[in-house]
Amino acid sequence: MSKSLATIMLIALVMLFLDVNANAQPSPQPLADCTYLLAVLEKAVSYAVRDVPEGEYIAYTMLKAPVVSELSDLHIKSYSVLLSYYTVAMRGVGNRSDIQRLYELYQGIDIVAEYARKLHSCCKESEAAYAIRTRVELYLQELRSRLEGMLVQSSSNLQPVALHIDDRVYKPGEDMDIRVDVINKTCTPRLAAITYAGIVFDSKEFRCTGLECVAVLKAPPAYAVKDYVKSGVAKMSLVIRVSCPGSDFRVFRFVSIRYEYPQVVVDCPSTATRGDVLNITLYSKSGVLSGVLAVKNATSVSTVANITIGITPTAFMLLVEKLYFSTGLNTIRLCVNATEKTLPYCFEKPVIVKPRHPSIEVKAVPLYMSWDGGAQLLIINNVDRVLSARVYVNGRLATLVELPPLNTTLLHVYRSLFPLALANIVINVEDPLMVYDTYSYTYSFTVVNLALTIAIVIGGLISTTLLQSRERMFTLLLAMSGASKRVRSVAEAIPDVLRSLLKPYILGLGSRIAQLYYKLVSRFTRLPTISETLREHYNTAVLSVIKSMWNRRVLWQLLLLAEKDMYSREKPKPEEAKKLYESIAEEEH
Amino acid sequence: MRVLLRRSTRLVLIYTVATSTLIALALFTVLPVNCIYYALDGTRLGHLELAKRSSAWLYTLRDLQGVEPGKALLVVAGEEPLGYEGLEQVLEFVKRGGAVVFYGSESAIKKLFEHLGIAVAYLGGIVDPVYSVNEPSLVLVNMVSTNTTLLLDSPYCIQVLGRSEGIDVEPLAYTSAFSYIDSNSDGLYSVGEPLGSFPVAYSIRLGSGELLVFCARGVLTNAVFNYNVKWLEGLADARSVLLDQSWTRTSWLLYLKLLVNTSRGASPLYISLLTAVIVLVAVYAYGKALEKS
Repeated sequence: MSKSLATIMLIALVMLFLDVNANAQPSPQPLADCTYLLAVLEKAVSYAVRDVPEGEYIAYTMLKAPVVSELSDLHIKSYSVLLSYYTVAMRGVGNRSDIQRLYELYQGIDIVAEYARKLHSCCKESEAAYAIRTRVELYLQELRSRLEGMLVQSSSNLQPVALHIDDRVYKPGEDMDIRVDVINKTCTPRLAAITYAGIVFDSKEFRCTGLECVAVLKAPPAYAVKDYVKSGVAKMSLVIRVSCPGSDFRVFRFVSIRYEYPQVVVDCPSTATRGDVLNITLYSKSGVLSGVLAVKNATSVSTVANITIGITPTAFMLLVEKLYFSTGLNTIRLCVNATEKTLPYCFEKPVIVKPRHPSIEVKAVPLYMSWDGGAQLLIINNVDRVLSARVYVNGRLATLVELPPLNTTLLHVYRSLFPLALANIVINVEDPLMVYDTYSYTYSFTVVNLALTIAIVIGGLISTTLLQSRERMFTLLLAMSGASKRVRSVAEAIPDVLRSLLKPYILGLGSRIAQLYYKLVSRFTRLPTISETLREHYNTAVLSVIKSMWNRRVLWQLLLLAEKDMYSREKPKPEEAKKLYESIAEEEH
Repeated sequence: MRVLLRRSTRLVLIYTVATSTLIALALFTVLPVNCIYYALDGTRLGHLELAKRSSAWLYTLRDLQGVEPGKALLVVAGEEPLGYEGLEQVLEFVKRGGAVVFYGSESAIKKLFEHLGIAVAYLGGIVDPVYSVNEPSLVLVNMVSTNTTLLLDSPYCIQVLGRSEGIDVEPLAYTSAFSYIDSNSDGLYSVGEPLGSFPVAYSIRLGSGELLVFCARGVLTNAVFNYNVKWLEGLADARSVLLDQSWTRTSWLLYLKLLVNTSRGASPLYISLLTAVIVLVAVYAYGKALEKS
């Protein structure tokens, strides 16, 4: 009873245990799929450009959506910008604080562009995602232009000062005359500043004469903006701070400045051979430039020199050595630094370098016959400098030698431990001074070890002679060596081996006639022993039990046939068997 | 003495057979079976949660003929498409005024649409990294008519291309604007994959009833049941929920488990009755064998 109760309790416990069903609580998963985030960003930006109200919802949702920590900062900033576009730009500019927000929004567009670039860099299909990034950038460009217009328009309408500046494209470092006419006499222009991407590049205080105030700013030099702009016209913000009783505010304008890459000529032959001197002609059409000359080969970039170039062509001679150049395509690269007028840029000129091998002769023969199995090579160095040779035999480094200049070196490269061997050698001749390219020589030859060959032939002949008359012993030895892998004594192993060895003799060497004879004999007497011939067996065992002459004669004839079948080259003919059969049949009748 | 011995042997036999049968049946009943859409399966796509909510299950869809449409909400979910007869039974139930919630594999849904004469195209699985719970394939969708949110397990997009006259098909639920069709099923967004809101449920009016077709692997399955239970309760109202388990007839193991289980769990009465029957048969067979010997 107690057992039944225990069983039921056990079942109940099992049921309770299995009934537990845990409900996992939802947890937001941070977004990490860059391609997806880029596609959603494109959607949000395109909605903003097209003034689709749903874009605000997308921006708001994405702002709240968690993303992986690497993207989180830019993600939040970007969607904050897009969200503020809906709240500021779509609502319209009503007061001066709105202008300020509009300006901040304008600056924030760069953050969105940066986010798009960052997302593109982590996309798994980078090439395919480039199209999305390009579209995002085009949308942002559109958004930027729209904000610029709004900013200028609203600044003009609401400000108590009138700002005048030449509406033209400035050059880097050029003076920009800024004139401000005060409309509201209680206000005073204080400061003019030129900014880009939130960085102030130049600022000056106004000098006022009556109601006219003047300030001169310098267009930011190229070296100052090299990290932010590319070649072309960049629009920079001109911010005028105006003080009025009780408040300060800003007036915004945009000025265009053209930045350009320098014009530099890099000229050199398109092909060169190792050891040659490469004449590189360098000159600048954009004034004096400093930079770094480097050579880019298949594996690395090596700096050659820091140089300064001007309008006058400068010849630079460079030895085509292995330190800088690899065989094949190389690139001469001149990277010039930014100046006040020009942006930094790298100029490249491809050069094909042909190899120059040292004059080397290798003398080898296809067949080497020697008493010790050795093979030698002659290497003739026709170069007036020491070279080193690495000799690989069958893929392994065999020797490393120095080749004296204008001399011949005898190299023992191989020694065969077999009577006959094939060897494959590779000789790499290198120039320690790296002027010459590595010369590689491959050769295959056969080596005959005469001593070993003769020894094996003699040994073989002796073995054959010795074992010729001891065929059985030899077979026995062979059988013993392979008969058993177990640890057994020879005494134990020999009977088994003998049985195995003599099995054909016992069974009649596969002769059907012998088998028939054995079958017949086994009815009357024992079978032949191991050490007994058929005739000995007949004389001792058969004759002792068979008394009938006719039977003895039949068995004798059968024995003869079996012997002939087993040992003679001439096998018994069917007529002989027929004759024996007929004689038996006749006797029976 | 011999009779006494025989009687004691028979008692031991009865005890042994009864205990082992009881244990075997109990274990067989309580041990979990992983089979999606099964009423006793506690895994992601099982229906254990639904079964616990006083739901009953149907061993055959023919039983629908005896069900009053106004008193039951039928839930049909399957991996394999329903056969012609099964679909006819379901549609007949709808036409009589019944309400049916239908979901499952894309092949099962496509078969239903084809049976109704609606041309459809399967566009791929839907993933929503933003409006999802725990993982992007557990997607939150918006029910247009009721403005409620449902959580669907592995929804997919089936586009209605055309339909027969007299069939009224209306989109019922949409994914958010942040979802996309994972055309290559790699679980990540690939350039060119459609991004936006997609219909994932359709309402089909037939006769006086309504067929709610969800293009999703799970709607009332365990992983999403707690999110959708309110919607189910609203939909069922006073009606009882019937879960179609007719497909279990192809597997005797699943079918037998269902037989000894009720919606409240394993029935001790059924287990005891089954044990008693087995014991009786065993004892009878033993007695016969003893007589022969």
